[in-house]
Amino acid sequence: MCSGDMDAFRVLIVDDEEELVSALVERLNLRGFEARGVTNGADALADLETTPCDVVVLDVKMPGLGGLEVIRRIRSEHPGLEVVLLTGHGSPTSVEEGMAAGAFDFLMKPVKIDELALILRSAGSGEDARRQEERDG
Amino acid sequence: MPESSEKGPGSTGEQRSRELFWQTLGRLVLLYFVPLILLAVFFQLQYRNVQRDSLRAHLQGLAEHQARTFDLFLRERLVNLGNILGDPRFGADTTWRDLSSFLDELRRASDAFVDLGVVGTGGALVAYAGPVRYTAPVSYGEEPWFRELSAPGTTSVITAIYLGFRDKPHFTIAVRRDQGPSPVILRAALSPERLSEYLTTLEGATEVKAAVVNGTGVLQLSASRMGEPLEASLFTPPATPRRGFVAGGRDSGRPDYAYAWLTETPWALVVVDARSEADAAVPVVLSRPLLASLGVFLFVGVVILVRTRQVVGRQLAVEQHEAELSGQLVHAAKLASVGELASGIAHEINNPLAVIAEEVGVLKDSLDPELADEDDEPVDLAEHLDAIHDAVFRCRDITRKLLTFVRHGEVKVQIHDVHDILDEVLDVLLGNELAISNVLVERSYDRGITGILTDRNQLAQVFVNLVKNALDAMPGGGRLRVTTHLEDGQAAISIKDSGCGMSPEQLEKIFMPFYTTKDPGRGTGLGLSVSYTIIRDFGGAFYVVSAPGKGSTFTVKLPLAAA
Repeated sequence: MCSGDMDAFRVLIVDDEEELVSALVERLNLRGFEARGVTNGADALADLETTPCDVVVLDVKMPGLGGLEVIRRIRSEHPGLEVVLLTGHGSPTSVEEGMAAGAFDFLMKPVKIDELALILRSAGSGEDARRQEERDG
Repeated sequence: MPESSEKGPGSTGEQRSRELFWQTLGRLVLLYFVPLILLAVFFQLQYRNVQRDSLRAHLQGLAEHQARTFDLFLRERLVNLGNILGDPRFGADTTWRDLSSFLDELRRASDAFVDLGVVGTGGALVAYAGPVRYTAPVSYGEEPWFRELSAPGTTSVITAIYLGFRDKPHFTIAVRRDQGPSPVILRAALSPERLSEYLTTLEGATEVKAAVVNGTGVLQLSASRMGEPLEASLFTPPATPRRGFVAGGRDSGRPDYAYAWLTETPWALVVVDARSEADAAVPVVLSRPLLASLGVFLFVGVVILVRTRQVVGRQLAVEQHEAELSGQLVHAAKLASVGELASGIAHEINNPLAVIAEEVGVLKDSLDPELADEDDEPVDLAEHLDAIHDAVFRCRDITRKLLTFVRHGEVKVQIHDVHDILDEVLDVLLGNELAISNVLVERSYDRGITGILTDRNQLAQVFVNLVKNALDAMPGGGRLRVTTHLEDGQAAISIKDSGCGMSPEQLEKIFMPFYTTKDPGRGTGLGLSVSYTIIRDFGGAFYVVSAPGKGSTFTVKLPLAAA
């Protein structure tokens, strides 16, 4: 089921839960994404410097460089890159802050893989432009 | 602006009841008895004043009355003598024998008359009737009374007491009538004994002791053992006013006395209270105002006792109710802080849940023929199942800790190592939250602090509140310094954050229930006020030092458990 047209979808998973990262990477790869993962914000920014990427899946609360700080840096350093937030937190404020900082969408942990895949695809396709218009409109 | 409070360990119910009883009783007794005692003393003094005044007035009245009567008596004696002068049987040729019949007449009028004499020109005694047998001629020419009586216009004289020719104290009274060329003078001696006896017959003689003194205080007459005539007396009444009261002198041993000057002679009649001091003291001790005061005291005492019992009963009920409310508040605050913990807990539980979901997902994917690739490496089942297992138990640990924390069990005061409780809060209850909030925890424990007497859950709740507050003060992360040390024989636990700090206005209110700086719905404002209550109930104290931009330091002081 791995079709070549999905090759373009390069996904970076950023989460401090190592097992979650490896499982997500494995499962997204099975679904045709080109996924890789890191376990902290600093590594994520370093990775983005060297390796091209389409969508970042980002945990909001992480020790060290937090998700909100990472998304702000991404928005300024990689303007074309879409970010999907992952949050285990019930707090709506951090999600609101993340969305305000320019996230494409957010998902509550635990996530359904198909849901994640769907959002990743729409983030990576031209739909982001449409959503951008909606936000601005 | 450090805030602090201290409170001793709670006492048992019975002890508290007794304590409260004596406290209330003492306060009520002070409140009621002090003014009562002042009033009683005031009335007693007033009463004594009135009593003394009335006694004075009474004495003075008696003195005046007796003086008038005695004056009258003396005037009568002069009249007796004058009557003889006017008697037709009396003439210049009156013989010694005739005179004795006149003396008898006088004695019928008053037994005070001792003798009678007729004094001729130059003071010579020309006739005499009485107890003395004169063998030589007698002349009164040099006697003061004779010269006084010789003065023009003077018709009568009464001498002070003196020793005459007979060398016996007596009074001389004399009258003069100018008959033709030479005046005739009639003189008589009055017996001091008889006059003194007369004093004892005057009105009020049973209540008072009376005496007669002259202007220099020499005793003339004394009704009852107040000295012998001619002796100096204790009394020298002032010349004016003509009657009055003189307070006794404690030093001179002179009693209070009233006096009244006589009109016939320059003497004063003096009276003193005949009752002894002891007799006079009895009515003071058991005086009516005193008895009334005692009655009032007794009544007020009973009222106070009854009232104290009521007040203590009510106060104990209120305190019990307060304790119940306080317990409920502590629990409510605990639930509320669980609510505040909830977002952190959601994160902590959702993370392992996400791990489980993805691990399960990997296994499902491996079984899905559409996804599975033959040339893929086979999935390591054990590895994924282990990850799932670990995540499940992470969830269980979180829920278990939460339940332990929130359990509304009986307060169990035991000796605990405060460091264990701190570590549980910092590592277990809030460890994850501290880590993801980028708060660096620095610990500096004084291991010399062996144990404190406390309830583990309640103290943990206090620390959770303090650490949560510190976290809220450092939204971008920071340092949390947790130190313990011995201070004044107590364990001092300080939690210092590097956060935004508080203004003096905020500091004033932080211990007030429902005061919060958090957004609506984010904080109950109960954390610190309940923490304060908990620490106070353990006999500890709470301090906070804070300034805007300089972070806050909360210090809890708790008594060490006895070794």
